[in-house]
Amino acid sequence: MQVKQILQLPLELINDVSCKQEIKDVYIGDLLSVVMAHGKEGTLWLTVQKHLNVVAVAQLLDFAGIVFVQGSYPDEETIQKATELQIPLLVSPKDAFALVKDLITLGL
Amino acid sequence: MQEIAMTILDMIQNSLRAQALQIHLWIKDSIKDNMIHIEICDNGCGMSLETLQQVTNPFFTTRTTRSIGLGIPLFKESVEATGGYFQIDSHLQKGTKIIGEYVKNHIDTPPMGNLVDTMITCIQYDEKVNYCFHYQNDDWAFDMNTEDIKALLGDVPINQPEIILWLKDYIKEGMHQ
Repeated sequence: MQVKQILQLPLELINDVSCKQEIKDVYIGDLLSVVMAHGKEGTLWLTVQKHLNVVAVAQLLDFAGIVFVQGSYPDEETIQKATELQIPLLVSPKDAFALVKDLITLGL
Repeated sequence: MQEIAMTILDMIQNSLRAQALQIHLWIKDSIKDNMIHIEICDNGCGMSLETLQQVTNPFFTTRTTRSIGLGIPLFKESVEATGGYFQIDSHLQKGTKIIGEYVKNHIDTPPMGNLVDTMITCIQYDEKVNYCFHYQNDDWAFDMNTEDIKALLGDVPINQPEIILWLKDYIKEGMHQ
């Protein structure tokens, strides 16, 4: 499933990227070193962390995209860097568990 | 990093990559002052002011194998997430000093982890490098300088298995474990 297909959920895309990335897995985690150790290529990552470091981790592991859950919203520098690297950034007011249920309903 | 000891190991790896031969590690773990103060000071190649200004940016690294370096950015983020402070000073050909101070009772402050293993891993990595280790909490302090130990050992290399085993017990005892 491509990132653009999950946009039908109550999610907001906050940067200008193509969203053609294929989602191969979903990972939930807020401790960046643990995400770095376990994240796989093509992962859609759900987190509340919004530091620029998040974009670096996503780039390093070739993630499909990042969803900031529970209303977490990154700053301008983080958004800019993700746009430059063509990493989709999404925000959701839901918590990770509720959002995952939606993703499963969609067929992920 | 899930443990402070792992973060320290990561920072010391940076020092070793900078060809440091003398590394000071200073730790104060105090309930009274509500802080965990970590200080790593080396005599490695140091950094220019320009490099220093970029080093907390994850998209900056001196490595050529990949374009992202997260060691220092993650340490800084981890410390600041607890309301603590991070500081890095460096001078070319002189060395680098990194200070990270966690607020001890903050819920996001990671556990200390195994400092004995961190020290032992460092000491056995390269016998030419000297470590000056200081740890203190509210009740006691422990100091160790590998130069003193090397003086006692004479020609016997410090990273020989028997010596390492002895050192491990010595540090454990010093750390009241």
